[in-house]
Amino acid sequence: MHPMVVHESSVKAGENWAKEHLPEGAPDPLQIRFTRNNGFPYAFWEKLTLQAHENGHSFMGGIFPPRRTDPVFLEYVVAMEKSYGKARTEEILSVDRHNTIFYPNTSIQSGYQQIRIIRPLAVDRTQMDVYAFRLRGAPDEFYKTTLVYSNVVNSPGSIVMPDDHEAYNRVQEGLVAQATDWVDLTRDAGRDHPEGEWTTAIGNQRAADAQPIPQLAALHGGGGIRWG
Amino acid sequence: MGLILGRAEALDDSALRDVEQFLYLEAALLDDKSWQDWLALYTEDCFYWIPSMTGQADPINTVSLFAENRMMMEMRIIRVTPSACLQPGVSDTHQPYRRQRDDRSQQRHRA
Repeated sequence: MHPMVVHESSVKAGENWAKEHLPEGAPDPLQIRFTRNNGFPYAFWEKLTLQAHENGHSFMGGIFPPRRTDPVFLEYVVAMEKSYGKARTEEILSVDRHNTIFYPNTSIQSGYQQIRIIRPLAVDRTQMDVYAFRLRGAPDEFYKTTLVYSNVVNSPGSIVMPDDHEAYNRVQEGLVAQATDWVDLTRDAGRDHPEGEWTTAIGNQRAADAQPIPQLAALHGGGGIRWG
Repeated sequence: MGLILGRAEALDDSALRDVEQFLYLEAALLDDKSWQDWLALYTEDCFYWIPSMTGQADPINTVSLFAENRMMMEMRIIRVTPSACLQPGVSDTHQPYRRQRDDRSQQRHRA
């Protein structure tokens, strides 16, 4: 539930830029699409599904729905259909996940072809490496989207990730405090639904009264990359 | 995309001095938080690139620290203005925060 708070400044930066420079209703450039997304209200995050395997692997639902309709993505769909056929392509593309965690320290961002490895270096030091991948046979332009995502969101010089780092640092400082023996991570425990090997949780607030999100409409068919 | 990529060529002394003075000016404008004056140093079709590794050939095949057009540079300026920030003064420079953290950590050690 952190994005709209931790990433407020980059959300506003994108929103304000768009307000000033783009005609109303114009599709967002890709970069602003990435920053704006973090500003979605709690009701949006509340609807996201988290699924956890009993041994710690887990994934969360996609945060960039609905499916992209820009020309680059459509070209990718054509390439996929050539390799896999229509039905299998649909099956593959209908899996919409944001982060997938392979316990304990590998995270896959499948939508933008990233693998992230989290390495604990010391009790108060962690290194996270983000690898960006090219999809074999996908249009070149498709990889540009991956790079823009990495540059805008994940680079240590970006306007998004450093805010996460600031949060991590403050959590680290908080953990030094000696006031309590335990860190409480139970947040609304008991609302999970175990089903076979998987446990599912939707959102983590008490009042799960999620409403339709008007902002989603703005995502539909986002604009292309503005390189300069 | 209008990128100009190339290796640094040998410059004569006066050109080198111009480049040096430009860099001093840019650093001074950033230190002064004269964001608009800083932006005015760049053309409309500028591209601000800080490679992520030495010898990186281009910004379109490898991740960069910065690979930004003017839109992103303008967004950075909006981002550090008080209207966009929950917490005033956040992230317009790393230095005060680093110092603050060091101060806090020293206090802890003294305690």
